[in-house]
Amino acid sequence: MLQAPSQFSVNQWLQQDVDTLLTWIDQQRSLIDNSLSLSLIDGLILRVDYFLSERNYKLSSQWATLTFKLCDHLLQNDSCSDRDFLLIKVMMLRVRLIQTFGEQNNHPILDPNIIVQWFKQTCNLSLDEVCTMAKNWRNYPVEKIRRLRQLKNRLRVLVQLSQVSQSLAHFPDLEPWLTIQSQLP
Amino acid sequence: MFANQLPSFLDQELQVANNLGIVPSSITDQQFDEIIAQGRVKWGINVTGKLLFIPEFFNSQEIYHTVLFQGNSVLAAGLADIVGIQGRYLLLWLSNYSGHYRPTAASLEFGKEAFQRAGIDISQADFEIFG
Repeated sequence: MLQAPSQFSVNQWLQQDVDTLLTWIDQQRSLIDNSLSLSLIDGLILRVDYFLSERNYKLSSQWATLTFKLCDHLLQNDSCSDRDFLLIKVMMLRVRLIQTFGEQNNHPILDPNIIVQWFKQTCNLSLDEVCTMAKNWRNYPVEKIRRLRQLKNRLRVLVQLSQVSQSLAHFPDLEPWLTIQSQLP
Repeated sequence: MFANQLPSFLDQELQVANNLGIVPSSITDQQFDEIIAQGRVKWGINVTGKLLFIPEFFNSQEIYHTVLFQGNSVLAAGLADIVGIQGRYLLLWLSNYSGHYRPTAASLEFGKEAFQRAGIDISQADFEIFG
């Protein structure tokens, strides 16, 4: 049986084949601490990027599936404090996959709606509110500025998606959000 | 010191960053304002105490912490959200997250000190510890 990665190097762990790792993540995930999981996710994303550079759909999608699975497990863990940056990381990976292989509705990896729905579900400010604050954000308390910056970081994914996918045309309500991104702190 | 935990990917990471024209910046570099205006940044401190920054993403491509010091070990590393221009900067959020270096919580203190020394106001920042 494959050992927990804490017992040897992350690099060795990443040398296993995808099926072995998928099974292992399902069976042993409770043994992986959060810090190590984040390291593994970086390694998995780099694997995907490597196969993306070779335009290898099969291996890119296999390693991406593994990445999303580990990410899901990590997000289900209560001790995972900042879900936002982790989700942005994997959503940007989805954008790169769509950029390379094209969009495909109802596809577990290449469906741009997954990104759109993620943005809509995590957006906790109204457009009117954001437009008002964006005009003179320096006058707002730091907590508000922080929320605007978090929004900007998430919108960054949507802006990138809009440049590689036609699907955002089906969401005219998102257009003003894309426009305001550059005006946010 | 924290060593790169994913050394087998270093060439790939540096090649991608090089192709995109990514150059690590200090707070006094002209491009610093442009980098922080794009969104979250990655930061690192090397053995000599040098503090450098890179964008978290260039377009959709993630840029990795190893690009900061060519894969060499670091005293501290993490992510940050900073706003401001021309020498007046406010830190909103600082963390010790780096999947490549996995720095300990203690290293976040190096980060706080280095940011303050660089003239960044950290008084209202949120700090987040990983690991």
